Amino acid sequence: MKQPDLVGHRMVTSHDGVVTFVLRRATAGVHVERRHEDSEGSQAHVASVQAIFETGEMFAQFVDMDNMRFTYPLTYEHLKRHFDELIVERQSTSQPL
Amino acid sequence: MNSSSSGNQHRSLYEVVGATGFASLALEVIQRAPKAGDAAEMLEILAAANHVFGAEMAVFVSFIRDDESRESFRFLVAGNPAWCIAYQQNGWYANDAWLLYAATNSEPVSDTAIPLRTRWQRAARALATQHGAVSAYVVPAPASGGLSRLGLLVLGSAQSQYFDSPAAGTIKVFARSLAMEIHEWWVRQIRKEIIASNRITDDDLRLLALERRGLRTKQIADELNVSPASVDSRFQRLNAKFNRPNRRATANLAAEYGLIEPCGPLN
Repeated sequence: MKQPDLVGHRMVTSHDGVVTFVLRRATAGVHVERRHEDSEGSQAHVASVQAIFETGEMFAQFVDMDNMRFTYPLTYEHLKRHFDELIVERQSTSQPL
Repeated sequence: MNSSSSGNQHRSLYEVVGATGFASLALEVIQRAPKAGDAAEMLEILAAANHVFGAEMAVFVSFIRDDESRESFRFLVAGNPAWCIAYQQNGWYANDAWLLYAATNSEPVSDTAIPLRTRWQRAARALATQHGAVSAYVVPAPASGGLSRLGLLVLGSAQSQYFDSPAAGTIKVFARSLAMEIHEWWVRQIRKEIIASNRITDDDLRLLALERRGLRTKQIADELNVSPASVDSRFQRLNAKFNRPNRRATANLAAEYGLIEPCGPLN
């Protein structure tokens, strides 16, 4: 099934589509969704985690737990850059998109 | 991460529910849930629930089995979501004691009432403890109609035995209502996303609902006042959109994702 269009969001996807992050500014911080498609044997799992991060510290912990950062280092570099930009935007404007 | 629960540090659940205005605040959070405009707003509602119930973590999990080979899990986390990553990396879904409980029970309980029978279940529980859920309140949000999908709200506290208090009987009603409201909201959100992104029309939904009711091609054609060939053609198109091998699987998937009622048309 197709995924919805994400106007106003920033999206970072690994080259093979296995892991995708969607980020947007929210009232309380940066809203991040992580989607992971995992096919192991005959069973496929699609997992999505959504949370709002008020600061970079908790986001860094979140990323540090993620082993996919070793498989897709460029993807995670882009992810961190987008997060840093959004958190700075939020801090400078204190307004959601 | 939202730390609105900091004012509840060291208060027992008994003190939290006994505080003036607890019921009003809890109802207010519950009433906000169906009106959440998006997931970010729902996360803020979960953070508010943390504050009201004196918890440090609130997680809502939605599980849907697309078919025998594909399952989807969606987590909304108000609190520290780092444990979700470790949980997913370990692939604990099939063994999760709380999900298994929610699949067959509707009663909210303290996590201490749910036995941990395997080392994987104990490991998953230890992970939650490491990330702040020393005590947890497990609140199923079941679906009806023989569907696989289920929802589960888990409230976590850093205080040992927080939810083992007799006061948990007071929050049970509120937590259960909140879990059901969030689950129904989420099903509506998923439904809207799928319909919009796959351009599903009302006629498509009616077609799927008739299939779900077990009608044959000729009966469906009569209901819709079209030819049987047209029914077949439309199902082929829908099967391709949903990436399902046949119309029954497509209709079942549509029911799982809330596009149609489990056993009839959605009006």
